[in-house]
Amino acid sequence: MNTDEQPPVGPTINRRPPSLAQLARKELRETLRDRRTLMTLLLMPLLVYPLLSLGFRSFVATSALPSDDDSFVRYRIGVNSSLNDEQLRIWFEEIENIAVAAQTIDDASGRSFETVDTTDPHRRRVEAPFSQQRWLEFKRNRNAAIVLMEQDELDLFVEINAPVGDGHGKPIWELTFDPSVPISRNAARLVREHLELMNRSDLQRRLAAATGDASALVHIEQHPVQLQLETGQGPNLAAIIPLILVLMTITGAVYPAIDLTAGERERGTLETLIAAPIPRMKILVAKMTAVLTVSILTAVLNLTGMLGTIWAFGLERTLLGPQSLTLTMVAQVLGLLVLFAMFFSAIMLVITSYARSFKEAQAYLIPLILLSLGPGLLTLTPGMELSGPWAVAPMVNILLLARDVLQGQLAWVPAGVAIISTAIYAVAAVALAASIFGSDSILYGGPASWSEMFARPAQVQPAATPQVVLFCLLLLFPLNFVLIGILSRIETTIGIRLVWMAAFTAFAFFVVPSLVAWHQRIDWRSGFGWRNSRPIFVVAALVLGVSLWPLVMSLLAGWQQFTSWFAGEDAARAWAERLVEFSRGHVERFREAPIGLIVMAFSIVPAFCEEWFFRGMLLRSLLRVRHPSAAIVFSALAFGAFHTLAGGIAMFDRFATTTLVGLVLGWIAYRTKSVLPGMVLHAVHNALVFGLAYFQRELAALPGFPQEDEPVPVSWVTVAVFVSVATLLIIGRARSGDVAGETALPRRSGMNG
Amino acid sequence: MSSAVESASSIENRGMSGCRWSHGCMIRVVELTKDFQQSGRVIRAVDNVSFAVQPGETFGLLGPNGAGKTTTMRMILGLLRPDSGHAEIDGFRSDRVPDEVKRRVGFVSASAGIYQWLTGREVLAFFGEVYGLPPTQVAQRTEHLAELLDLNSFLDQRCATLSTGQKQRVNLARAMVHDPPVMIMDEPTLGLDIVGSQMIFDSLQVFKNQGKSVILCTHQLEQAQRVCDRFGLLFRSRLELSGTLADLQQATGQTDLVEMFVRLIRVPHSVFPAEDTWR
Repeated sequence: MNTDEQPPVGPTINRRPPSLAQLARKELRETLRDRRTLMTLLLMPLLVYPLLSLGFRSFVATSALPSDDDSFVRYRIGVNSSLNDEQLRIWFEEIENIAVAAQTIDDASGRSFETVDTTDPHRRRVEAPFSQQRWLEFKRNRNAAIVLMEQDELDLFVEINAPVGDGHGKPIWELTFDPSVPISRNAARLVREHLELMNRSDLQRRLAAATGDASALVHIEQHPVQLQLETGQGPNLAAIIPLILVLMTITGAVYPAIDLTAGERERGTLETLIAAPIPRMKILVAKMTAVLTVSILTAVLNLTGMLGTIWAFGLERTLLGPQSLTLTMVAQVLGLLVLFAMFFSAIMLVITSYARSFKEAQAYLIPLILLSLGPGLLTLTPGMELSGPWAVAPMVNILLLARDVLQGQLAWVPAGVAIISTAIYAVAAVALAASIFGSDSILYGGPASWSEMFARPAQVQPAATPQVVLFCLLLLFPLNFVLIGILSRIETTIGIRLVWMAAFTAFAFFVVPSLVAWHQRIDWRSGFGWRNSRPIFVVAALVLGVSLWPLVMSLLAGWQQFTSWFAGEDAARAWAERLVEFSRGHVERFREAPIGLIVMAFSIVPAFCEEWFFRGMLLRSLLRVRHPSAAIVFSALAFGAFHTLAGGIAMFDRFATTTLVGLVLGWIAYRTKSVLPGMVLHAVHNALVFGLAYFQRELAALPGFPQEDEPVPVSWVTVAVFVSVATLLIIGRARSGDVAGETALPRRSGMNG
Repeated sequence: MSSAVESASSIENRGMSGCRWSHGCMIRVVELTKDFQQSGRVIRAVDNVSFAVQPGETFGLLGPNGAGKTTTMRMILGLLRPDSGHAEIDGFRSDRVPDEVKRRVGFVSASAGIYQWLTGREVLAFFGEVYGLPPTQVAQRTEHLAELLDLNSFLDQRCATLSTGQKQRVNLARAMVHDPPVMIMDEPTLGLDIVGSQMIFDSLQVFKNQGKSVILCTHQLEQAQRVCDRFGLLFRSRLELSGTLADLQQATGQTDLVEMFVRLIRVPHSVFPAEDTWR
């Protein structure tokens, strides 16, 4: 090494930032040179689809589904008869609709016919006339035939026995088949139908001969029409295609997502990248571009592979129905896959950014992929429609939309909702990834590590960490569903039901968070805002609790107006009527319960417990790591989402209003540093809203009071707005709630601060 | 003895002794402190560390494993935010304008990996672009560094196929591609053989000739003693001693760094005043 060499360029400081394309090119180069990426990228579409198709074809064959090519479903029917060949021949000829491609496949000891399904008028084709066939005795009894069926060598066994008596009657046909095997069942159905046809024509002939009237029987004419898919028709085959494509797109993105985040971190290259003057967001976007490119490539290759296979095997009709594939449809499906890939890549980057090693990242992603199988399989349910909550359900909406596209049943409004909502999820996921990616704790394994999350701290904590709160949120969500499910199964009087309801609310939003907080040694005062508040705030909260309801009611009406503009006038009216019916039904039932119980179950307990968690634990934790406005908005959205999703379909409209109330409550909790004023507001507001419903009949009788289906009078709303704004101003301008010398705690250090 | 130590370290801590005769110091570290939370317990990784490095000066940041050397370097470079105190490179604070700091620093670390699927040339080209060099300059620098660090025989091989020493040379070239005035080197010789680490120490001489300021963190004390102008001994998160070799010798009564080091780790009380050692 030449130690005294001078540099050819001086130490100039360059400010030209690298372009995104330059960054992304490196990420892509690195990923695409990796053989493991190429494996999933190329081998999957080349191998999986032909194999899947083979499997599918054999499924089609054994289940006797209509297939696309001209090959017929062949039934192997063994015949044992005491009739002689000539008699048999006459019999079969008499059943003129049975066209049999008779081909003996059995040895001399018996015989079986391969017959052709002639139920489809397009397929009615006689392949070989009966008369030319050899007829041999199938010298086996039924038990022997059953053994053959068990060995899958026979689909149906027919015994034709000469009639008892004088020999002029018709013979007796005995059909032996396995109803659990579709092809066996269908073979029996086929023979039975033809025998019935024969009987009928025989009957008609005799009737005509006896009465001289050929039209003695009811004449039936059939006009078959192709209907759109209805419920209860078995699995929806068209939904399989998007599901497989989406899963393959995910698979394609898994490897690069892990490799470019956890992998880079494990190899130590992430630090050199972070040590360079590139904004972290740009690094992330470059990585995302690479992941996205690979997953789109996977999507394209898979789409090509799959459509090619479908075409080559002639499966379009089976999978897609009468609709033929067009280039537009393929392009639309591809577009949806790209959108989905954006959303899912971002989610994967969020998760893999947490991992410190490749293995860890894999361990995180496997549950995610298994979890996404759930909604994926849901879309195979017949009768699932892209509407209502499904239009905004992540993944499900794209799968349903792709299915509809493939079936040529595109409805633009739900399609728009699905696309816009998925785009919003994608942006949110990117934003989340950006806030996580490259933060201190991620780079150098700080408190973000999952195992440390569950460790009990040695010291008292001022507030729950965001990880712990998020964990709580994830725990409460399914718990709430289960509790609601249990509640609906409890058959008891309304009074006891209300007690249960209150108990469940308390368990979910008070007991569980409190246990977690106890385990995490969280200080009740700072971690929940459980401290006294200045009396002025309590009074202000009381006033707000009284004055908010006209606003909420108007907002609800406005929201319904908005959705009606979206979903169509009729749908909205039907929806509103359903809601009124729903709440009227509930109110009627609730009126049987004592008023004290209702106040407890709908006002006091939810107010206390929900404030305890949403404005206590959740908001206090978020306020430490996020800007107050972001913390308040997030807690309000969580509050809204909980009420919407946990409340079932009937609560879907309440999202906007609950979130608004959540915003007000969050801001008050932030301003007053106490959870108490919010509890007062919440309790009063709930009591008023339920009271209005409860006493609707009595109130409606009062002069000037709006009827059930009438909007809140404008004058009332005006007064409410005025009072609310004035109260909010008072809270905003008052000295904030330092009642016990509570000083602002230092924000936690680090990039997530 | 202990009073001599106190005076030596307190001079360093208070007055930036590296720069006390000049305002033109390239690296200034002022009372850096960093806490980490671990299972709810706060662990102080770096405690009130201050020092300064002039252009053309090599500062050896020495200390046992877990003393806080790497955390200090990461804070100087702006990869970690200090809880208090700050670091400056060429007058730019790393907690305020980290990108300005990063433009001026070449960072080599033992934990730094290299892109397996890219060739050495592609790695240099990529980082050239990242540091905003125009393509002609990237090519010029690549050629220059290839010659300087003897990379030409393997520059077009994928890095996965390179030996540890070759990889570390590519890594060094990567850190030098934008010709920064400051080099921060965290255990650059870890895992290298004698020839490999000699090459790294030779490069330190080049940096000195070019007037670069260097912070070197290493366990190869004999080599460090030879190339570094001044030293800082980091122990249990604190900069217990700093100064030239002569300063340290005077403060500890030991002649060479290895002895100082061993005493520092084995019997801290014998070297330091008790109240400063145990927190």
